[in-house]
Amino acid sequence: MNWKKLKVLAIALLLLVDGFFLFMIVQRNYHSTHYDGEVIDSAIGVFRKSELYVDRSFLEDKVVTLPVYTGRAVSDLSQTAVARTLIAAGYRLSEVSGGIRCTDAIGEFYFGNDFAFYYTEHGLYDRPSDLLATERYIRLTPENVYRQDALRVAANFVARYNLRSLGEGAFDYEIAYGEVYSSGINYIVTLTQRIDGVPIYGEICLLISGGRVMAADGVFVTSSPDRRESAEMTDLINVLFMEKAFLDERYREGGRFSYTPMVLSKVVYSYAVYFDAEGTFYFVPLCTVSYMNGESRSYNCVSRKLYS
Amino acid sequence: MSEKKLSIAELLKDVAVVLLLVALVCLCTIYMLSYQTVGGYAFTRQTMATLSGESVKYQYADYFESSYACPRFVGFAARELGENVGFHCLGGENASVSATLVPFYEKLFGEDGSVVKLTPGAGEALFAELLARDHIYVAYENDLPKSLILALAMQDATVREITGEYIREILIVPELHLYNGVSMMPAGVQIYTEIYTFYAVARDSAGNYYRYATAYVPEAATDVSFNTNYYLTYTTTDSFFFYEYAELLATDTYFDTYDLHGRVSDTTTVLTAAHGTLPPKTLTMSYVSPTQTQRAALLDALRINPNKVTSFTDSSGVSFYYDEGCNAGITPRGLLTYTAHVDGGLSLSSLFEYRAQENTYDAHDYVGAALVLASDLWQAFYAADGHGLEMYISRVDYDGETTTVYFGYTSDGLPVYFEGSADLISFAFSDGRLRAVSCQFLAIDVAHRMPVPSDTLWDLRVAVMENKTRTAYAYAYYLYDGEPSGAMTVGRRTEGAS
Repeated sequence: MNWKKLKVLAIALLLLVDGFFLFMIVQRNYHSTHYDGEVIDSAIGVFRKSELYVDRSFLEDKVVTLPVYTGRAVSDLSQTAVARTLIAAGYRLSEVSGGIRCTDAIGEFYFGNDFAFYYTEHGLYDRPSDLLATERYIRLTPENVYRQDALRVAANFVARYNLRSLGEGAFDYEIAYGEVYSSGINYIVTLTQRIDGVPIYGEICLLISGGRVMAADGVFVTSSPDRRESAEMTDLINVLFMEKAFLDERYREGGRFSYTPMVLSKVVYSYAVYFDAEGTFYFVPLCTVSYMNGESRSYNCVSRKLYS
Repeated sequence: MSEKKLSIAELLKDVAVVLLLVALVCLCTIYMLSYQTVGGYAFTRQTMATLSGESVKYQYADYFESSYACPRFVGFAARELGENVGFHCLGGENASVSATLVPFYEKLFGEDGSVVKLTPGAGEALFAELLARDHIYVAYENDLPKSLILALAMQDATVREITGEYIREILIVPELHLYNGVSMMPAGVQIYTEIYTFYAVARDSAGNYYRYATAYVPEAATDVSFNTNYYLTYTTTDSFFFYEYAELLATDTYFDTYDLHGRVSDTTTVLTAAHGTLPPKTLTMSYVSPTQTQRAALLDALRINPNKVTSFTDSSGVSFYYDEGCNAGITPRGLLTYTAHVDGGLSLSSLFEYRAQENTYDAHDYVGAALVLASDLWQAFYAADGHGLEMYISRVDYDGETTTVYFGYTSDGLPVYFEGSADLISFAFSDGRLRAVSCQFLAIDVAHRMPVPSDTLWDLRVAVMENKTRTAYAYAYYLYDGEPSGAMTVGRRTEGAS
């Protein structure tokens, strides 16, 4: 027997078999992270029966899986970097039930143990997030020059009071600026903290008037997480089925003759903050679906329940 | 081709075969493993369900302070030593006394404890019998849910329901003698004493008796136990006194002279000797109309924007404020009211900027919300100067639908009674919303301090009684030691107009 020819044959055969298994593994991996075309078509068809219109592109993307981050909240908020910065700037710190308050002659900051945050100049009552909920503010386009000015004022405010710098956990945040809205006189800038590119639910809104920040409120996380855990997270198709169930329920209770057509425009993932009784915080993935008519709803991706 | 090149080629082929074989084995293994279920998740749906419930509670945690349900009196009776040592004004320097009750409460009222309701006759007989033996006696100003007492004492327990036992007086007593051994005093000093297990008998104002037991057995020196030396070491504070119970004293002419028999119970404490000082003072309280700044702050505390509401003032000076889903009113006498419309009212989810996963709220949420709102209203009206007054929970009612939390004022730890009632602030909740608020604010001044010989104490409370034409006065009841027995009031009630 010609061993040499046998070896060549063996090499060719092994290459073929290895290539086959490699292809199967890659394909299997792809199928485990992407929906099958038939599943997509079938799901879209089911959604349409409830007048829920979902473009294929939403379901053709890779299935998102996010971990849960967890950490211990700083027990003494006065020791956080932002509190130390305010004290150094002349603010007077006082402990109140639920958090700390830093005041000076112009205004005051509040930081809650539950990461609630607000800033206001004395005498001002309206919160920027409340103002944004009215219809008096419109979104500015990216090329709008006033938008750039407002962002500059917001960035200076964030930098001056050290709202970027946080605790000593293993994972840190980055600040990402969102939309800018205008009422014609005042501006509202929205920004979020992000961890690994995913925003924390509950944006911070800054009210800008006369070139300065007059009020701010939202969720500001003053502690960094130090652990990341794998999460039993539901996928987008299941979120959309939950949304379909919500629309069906609304239709049944609404007494209307037909469904209101809902065209999905955006899907955004974020982290909601939860605390346990011992003060450990958790960032749990949320999925927010938004529609062309302005409606949006958020679902907790682990509990599979409506969040807001 | 030279032999050397041939042999190198064959070697390379051999290496290729081996590598491809190894790769084949690895790829097969990976392929088969890809069909197996991966390991469990660290954060599961069950974890999330537990976390959802705890997350809302966390926001109230800072407000659940023990001072809101501090015992009015704690007494330690050691018959063999012939000493009864008691403490009033259980804040400030005596805060450590009420803190020592926490380990007992944890074992008796917590998950490890059990409760049996006694018949009135059996309960009364047992209570009287235990009063004559070694015990720790704890008295609250009013009946409170046991679960709320535990939650406020421990600050990390939760009160799920306002059902079950309401208690006002507690007797913690020894049960079984375990051994004579070492126990730890609060200061960390070890002592040699008798170690007992313990149980408790409690009762409310309506004559319901409960026996609380625990399977807990102390083992280490630092474990909570009933031992004589342990609780008597609290004489290290400067404001204790020796006392007896009214039932155990011979009939005193004081009770006859001042016709106090109807107001004396078997557990009324009678001070026999004082150590340190009690705070005699006169409080002057009067109605006051809030300033514009205070009004705006009060509305803001109720999450009503004073700049956005519709308001008007009627001919009697009462100001009304109308907001979406609710309205509020402030009278010239400082009474703040809030009423929610049918489906309106401040929702708990907006109060804490947390959107509850399910619209189910338990007593812990309502009491927590009441504590937050009461704290905000107090801050809005009194700011930094409350003249030494603090709030405490005077009552909690639940009628199956609405949970109402009442607050009163204390002065130096003593509850203040205004026109015979301690309930000066109330919050009513149902279905996750605030439905009604009634809040009476008063202007307080410390008129003067009277040098009162406080050798004997019958009962201690501060009562504010208002004359329609004059400001109110506060007074405490004292009983003189010596002869003849008499009562001394710290302040006097004025009759008629001045």
